[in-house]
Amino acid sequence: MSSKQKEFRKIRQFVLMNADSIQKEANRLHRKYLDVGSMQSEFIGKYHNNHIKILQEIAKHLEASDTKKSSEIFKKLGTIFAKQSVQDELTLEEAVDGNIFLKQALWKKIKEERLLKKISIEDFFVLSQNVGTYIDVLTSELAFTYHQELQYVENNLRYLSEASKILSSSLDYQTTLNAIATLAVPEISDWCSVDILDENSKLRQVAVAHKDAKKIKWAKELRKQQTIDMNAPTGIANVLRTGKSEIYPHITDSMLVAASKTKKELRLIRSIGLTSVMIVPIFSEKKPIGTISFVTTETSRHYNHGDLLMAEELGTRASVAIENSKLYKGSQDAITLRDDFISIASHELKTPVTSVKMFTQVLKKHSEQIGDAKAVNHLSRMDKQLNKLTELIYDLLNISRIQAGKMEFNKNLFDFDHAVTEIIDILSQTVTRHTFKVYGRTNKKVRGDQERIGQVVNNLISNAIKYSPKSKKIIVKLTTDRDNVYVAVRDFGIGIGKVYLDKIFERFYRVYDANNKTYPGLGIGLYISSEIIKRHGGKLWVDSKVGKGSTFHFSIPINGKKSLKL
Amino acid sequence: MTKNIHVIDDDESIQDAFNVLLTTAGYKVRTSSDANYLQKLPKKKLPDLILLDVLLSGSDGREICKKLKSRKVTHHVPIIMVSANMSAGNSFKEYGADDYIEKPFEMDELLDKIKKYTKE
Repeated sequence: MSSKQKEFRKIRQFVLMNADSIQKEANRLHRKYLDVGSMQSEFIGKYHNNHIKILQEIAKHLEASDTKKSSEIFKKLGTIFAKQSVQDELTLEEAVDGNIFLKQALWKKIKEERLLKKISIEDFFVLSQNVGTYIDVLTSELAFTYHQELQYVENNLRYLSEASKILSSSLDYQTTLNAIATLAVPEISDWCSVDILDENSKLRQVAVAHKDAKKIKWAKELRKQQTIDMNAPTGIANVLRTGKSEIYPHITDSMLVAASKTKKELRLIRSIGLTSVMIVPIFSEKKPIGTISFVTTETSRHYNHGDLLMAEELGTRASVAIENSKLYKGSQDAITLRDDFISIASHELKTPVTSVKMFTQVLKKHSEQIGDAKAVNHLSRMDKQLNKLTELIYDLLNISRIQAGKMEFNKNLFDFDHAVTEIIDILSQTVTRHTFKVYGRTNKKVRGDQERIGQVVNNLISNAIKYSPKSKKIIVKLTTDRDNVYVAVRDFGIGIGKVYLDKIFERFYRVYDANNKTYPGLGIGLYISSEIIKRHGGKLWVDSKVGKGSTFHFSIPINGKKSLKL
Repeated sequence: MTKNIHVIDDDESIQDAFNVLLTTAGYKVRTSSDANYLQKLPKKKLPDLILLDVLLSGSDGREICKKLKSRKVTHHVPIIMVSANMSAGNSFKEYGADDYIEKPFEMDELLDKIKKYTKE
């Protein structure tokens, strides 16, 4: 052994034996020159181990002549430490400074041991050059990777927040998932695919995005050719089976060989140039029903634990979105079914009502002819109830028409005052308890559907009668200004609580009185009325006080040509 | 002379009711769910008025109306369309019908219309 080798060996042994005390000295220097009190204690042990590792590597490569080759090891260490630092949320200074003090501590201890005394100038030069290069390579790689990692983390967060926005913006999950996949490329992955089990438990690729737009078609083709073996121990099949995500930070060629069943498949899969893969599950009703796969190809990005957490979070949010869209679709289907049913049922009801009404009227006529007053009275009441039944059927038909956007209107110019008083006259003939007082005139002609507007007046007055069983007076006021005619129907009945004022115009909503009782009706009269007024370009509103009564108002624009949306 | 009214409706209960109502009102009535026979009737046997349901299952009452009104032999026979569909009331003139009544209706309203078209 040459004296040179002997001296280097001494230094190496010293460093290896005293790595711990060198590290402690580095900590001391660090604390002396910089405030490191903020470093969390849980990281101290972790970084202690990192420093020991660095010292061990330095010791191994002290006299290396090919520094380029030995630098590779420190480059790798720099990458690993950078990733740790980002995950531990250290600042760049916290991540780098320790290594610089480590270098200082190393020289200090070597000098203290007088280990440099017997070394030639040339050897000292090699030694200091090497140690310096190693630490420089390590710290610059650390800084570079740190920035890159930070960028990834920021991208992840931005993606997650953007994706969440998209997920909550639409209830159509096909569109949503497509957007999610597209958004992932190129910031998060080079290739993103969403696969969902269909109703026949067949896996379908519902969305795919690739950084190279031309390759989307190719990516779809790949999936077609290479059907997923649902019994495979790893990959999408396994994630679907277990509901647990998978991450492959480094895809190696041997992994590809193991995953391919045929040579053709292997060739295909090799051509993709897989670097790193994450697969996370999507759940519905707690069962895995699909996966989101993130793939990087031919890049330096290797997914880590932090990326996986992000991807899993995305999977969870996608699950919620899918659940919501399923619920939404279910409720929409139910609504359509109900509306169709109402439409058909109300139409079907008309036929028997028609024939019953015809027989009732024949019987009534006959009873009149033979002078059976009692029978005439009973049959008249029956006929009246049949008319009520008919009105209910009309209400149901109207509501299903409004829902389907098929409510029809006839547009005519008509005398507004006459139309309103005509309805009041008809109602006066059938009402026994209440009296109507009509104030004011509009003296206006209005363009619109006279019958429908009459329906609204009829409905408002019928409600006034229904909800004021203990009072007698109902006031109808007709007013006008330059643009509109107004009708106000006032009763002195039970009134409506503030909380219900907005709701009474909703479909199927019924008001409860103080004793929590409802009044007869389907809860659709006001809904239909407000739709009719809306379609005429007018407004329907109410003032009310519990126990004092209610006033319903509506307006219709006079110049119907402008505002009539019929 | 007793007027002759034909009722075309595919619902039996409606046919029955028309039968009773119109007979009571003093008319001769024939009911059917199929209108095709009308085109084969000799002129002498044609009714004085037809009550025609708008939506007959199988054949559309409106098409039948158009056909009867386009033929020389049946052109003059008054046709009142009957329907449970409100919107049909707006379009009966388009296919040549004389009038329209909506189900369910008041007996007097129907009889008034019939009187008007049979010139009683």
